Amino acid sequence: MFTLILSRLLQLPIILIVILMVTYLMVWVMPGDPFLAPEGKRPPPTVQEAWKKEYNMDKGPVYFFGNYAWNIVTRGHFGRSIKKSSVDVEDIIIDGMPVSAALGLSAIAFALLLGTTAGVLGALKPGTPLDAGSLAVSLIGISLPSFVTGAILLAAGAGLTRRYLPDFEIIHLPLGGWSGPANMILPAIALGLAPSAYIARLIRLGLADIMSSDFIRTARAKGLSHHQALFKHALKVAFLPVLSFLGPAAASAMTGSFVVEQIFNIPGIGQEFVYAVQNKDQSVILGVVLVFATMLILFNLIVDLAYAWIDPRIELG
Amino acid sequence: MTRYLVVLFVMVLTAVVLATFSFEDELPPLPDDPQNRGTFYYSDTTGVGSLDPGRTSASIDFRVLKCLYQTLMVYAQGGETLEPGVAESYELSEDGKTYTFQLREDAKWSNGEPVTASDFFFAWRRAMLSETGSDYASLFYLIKGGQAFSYWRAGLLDYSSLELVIEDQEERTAFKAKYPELQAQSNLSADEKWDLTVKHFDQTVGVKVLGEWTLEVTITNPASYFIELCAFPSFSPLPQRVIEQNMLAMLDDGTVRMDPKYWDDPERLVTNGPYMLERNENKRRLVMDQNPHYWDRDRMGNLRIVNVVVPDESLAFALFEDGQLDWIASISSSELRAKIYSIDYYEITKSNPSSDDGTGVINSIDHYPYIHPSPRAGVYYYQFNCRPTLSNGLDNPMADVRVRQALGMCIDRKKIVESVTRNYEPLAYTFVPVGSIPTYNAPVEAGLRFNPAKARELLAEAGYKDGEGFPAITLLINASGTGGGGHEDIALVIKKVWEEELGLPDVGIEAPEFQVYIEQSKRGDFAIRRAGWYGDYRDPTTWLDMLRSKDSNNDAGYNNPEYDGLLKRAAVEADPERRMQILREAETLLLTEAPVVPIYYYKEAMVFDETQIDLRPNAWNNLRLDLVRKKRVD
Repeated sequence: MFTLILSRLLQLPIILIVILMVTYLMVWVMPGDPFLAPEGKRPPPTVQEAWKKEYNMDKGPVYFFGNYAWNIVTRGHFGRSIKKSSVDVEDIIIDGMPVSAALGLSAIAFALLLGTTAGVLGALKPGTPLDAGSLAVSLIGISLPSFVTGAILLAAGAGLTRRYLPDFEIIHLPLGGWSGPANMILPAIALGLAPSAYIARLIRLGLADIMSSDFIRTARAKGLSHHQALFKHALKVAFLPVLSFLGPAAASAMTGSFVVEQIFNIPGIGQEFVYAVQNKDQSVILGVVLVFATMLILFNLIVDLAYAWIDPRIELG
Repeated sequence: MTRYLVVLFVMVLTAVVLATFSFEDELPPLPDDPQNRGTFYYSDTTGVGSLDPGRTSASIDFRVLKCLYQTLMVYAQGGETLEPGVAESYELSEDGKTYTFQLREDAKWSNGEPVTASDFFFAWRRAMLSETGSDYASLFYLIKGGQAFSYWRAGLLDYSSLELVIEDQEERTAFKAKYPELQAQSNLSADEKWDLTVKHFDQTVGVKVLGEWTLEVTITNPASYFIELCAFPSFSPLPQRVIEQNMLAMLDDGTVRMDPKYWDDPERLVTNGPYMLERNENKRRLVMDQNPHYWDRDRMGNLRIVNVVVPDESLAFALFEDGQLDWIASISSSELRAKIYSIDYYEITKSNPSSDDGTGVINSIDHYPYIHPSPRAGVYYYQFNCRPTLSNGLDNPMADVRVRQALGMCIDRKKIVESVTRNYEPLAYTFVPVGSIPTYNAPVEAGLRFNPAKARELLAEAGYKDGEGFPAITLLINASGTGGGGHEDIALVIKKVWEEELGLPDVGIEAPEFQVYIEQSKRGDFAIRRAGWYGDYRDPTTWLDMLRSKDSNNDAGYNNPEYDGLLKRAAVEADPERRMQILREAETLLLTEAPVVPIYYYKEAMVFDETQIDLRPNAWNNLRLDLVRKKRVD
């Protein structure tokens, strides 16, 4: 176990350097000039040169990249945003990351709860309306993009209650923003609906398969009821594929969704990343990609460890 | 099963803990106020970019800076006239070039220290230092010696950078000859460079401190709009002592820069305006509280202003209707369209068709009283590449005036604003928006009118009868994103008329992403492109200068010595009336030669409840947020 963690952690910096270099290469070939204002107004050349100097962009891509990497290693400094010249990239990450992570985690928790329930209900009574209902839920979850579900949820959860029940302030969910736990409910549902559908399907299909396998038949022969066999033995096994799905799903949910953050006005990191790409704000792009990559790698490691914890037969190494 | 529940529990717990730390804090309560004033909430989609007045040029930033800093002059409510700000009065010399400002003695910084003439001197000098990177540095070039100083400083810091800084070779050679010692001086130490710079500025630039409260400014040529620039946030004062504490000198090349964090730090930031910074939370909100040392506190409308960042426009509307916002600073034309067409706007506009002289505009919407559209001092136009050859090396048909005129006469503005944008923008026949400058009478009659028959004649004269032999051309627009949608639709309508009426064989539309579009425009890599231009200051030159042959924004490559000559004559003309007359001549020439064809003047809309607040939208977006009094107090 420890050798696994150690070797994965040792690989981390190498993978990150490669990712950073590839990202920078793409940013570099990307057309556009971050110093130009909208509608194409151009400040005098004196000013453009001053900016390039200030951001170490006056001496070519290699110089910029070398400087950037050196600052990360020696000072933990990820550079400064070009569009918001007083904001450091690490501030953007520190401000935005907890928001996106909290939202992502609650979305995944919601997805697990809904997905497992729907999957198990479907498997309990295969072929019944309950099963069809669980299938319908997952179909809707997978087919509807989050900008549709987000907008519907916002309109229904926050808009309609205000319009038709103006006096029941206690049930008015906030209209976006990030000022308290109530702000998390709707976006977590919007973000968690799609993964919940995947989970429901994985569990429903897994359970159907496992319930007809030998060890369940043995358990039933010992006298366990269908329900007991399902909950005590089958669910554990059916849950393993969900676990491997959860690693990347959690990482992607926690690194923020541009769409959901935009609809609910949540100051997460997903929005920052899209704006940075649109504006070619290279330090921000590099910094955020670095954080995303680190999270993805770490989550895969956590999933591997969780695998071993849930199913002790699996050997790591 | 228990393990599963443990995992879930841990996830939820982590989420809650993380979230608790990232939620917004409650704002401190406001002090008791005899006038019972409260908090004013407004939203925009991106939040401020930079609060450094010497650096930014974005209108979102300016809105906040006008609350934080007070300039020598300020716009009165309504934005039409100026009133004294920090300057109590000013005198203008007879030649129209020297302004002497008398500052009020009760103006104070938020730390209680007095605002003096040297604070202005200091801030303006900083804006002219090349390394400050001021977006609006060129506005300071109107001050005597300003442009030369900023070149000189760039050369002093790095002599080789002059090659990039002064693009025109003749100008560069002349500059180098004027300062033969500059190359040697660029090898001095950082300290020596700074001392030299201070001395050089005093000797060559027309800004002088005549006394603690007297400032004298000399400009290069008589320009009545200089006094308006004095109301620009770029011309704000800075507290010299505080700024010097937060400056960083780079020893390797001698540049002097601010600690960028200073501008966002309410503990350190010292301002002289009605408000001071309470907090600036990137991407969330910016809060300003009344400056307890501001001299005109009794006139202020609200004790606190909160700028909420709301990227999604429909959400902003929902917040406004819920009473959480008092003002949505601007809404995009697509959102405006969506909103007004849901409320039978169409019937209203039909009875008020756009008029032909460029002034017709719909100003009020009866069914949804909160939307306030108003025309802006900006123009949406098409621009022709005027160089003899195109970027692909082929001969450029648009180099011929007649071809440009023919194409320009086939742009049906009325159709565009009534059935494509459907916002009924004022039709534009002039490059300088009609009515945007009170003393300037734009030559509306000179603008090309929609006239396909005449266009066919002109095209035939130019050798392309019925479009025969006309090469394939591309029309460059940007796909979407900044600048708003609708460009494709407009381009398609125009292309169709060109093909049907003029018989142009092949007009391709190229719609790259915005950044690519900008780059291609800058390189001159287009035959025709769509463009937009908002005026920076209230003078025709803010539009007309762009087509000077050597202007860095002259993407059209338009080069007409007669036009350049007129602009030069206007620049040295001391009589304001005659000056405007010369500029009118220049614009007439421009409209006849048609390197640009104006289509419509921009119209923007904001959202507020007239019965609650007294905001007065105007073409130049000169709003006095400090004077807006909100009737309802939360």
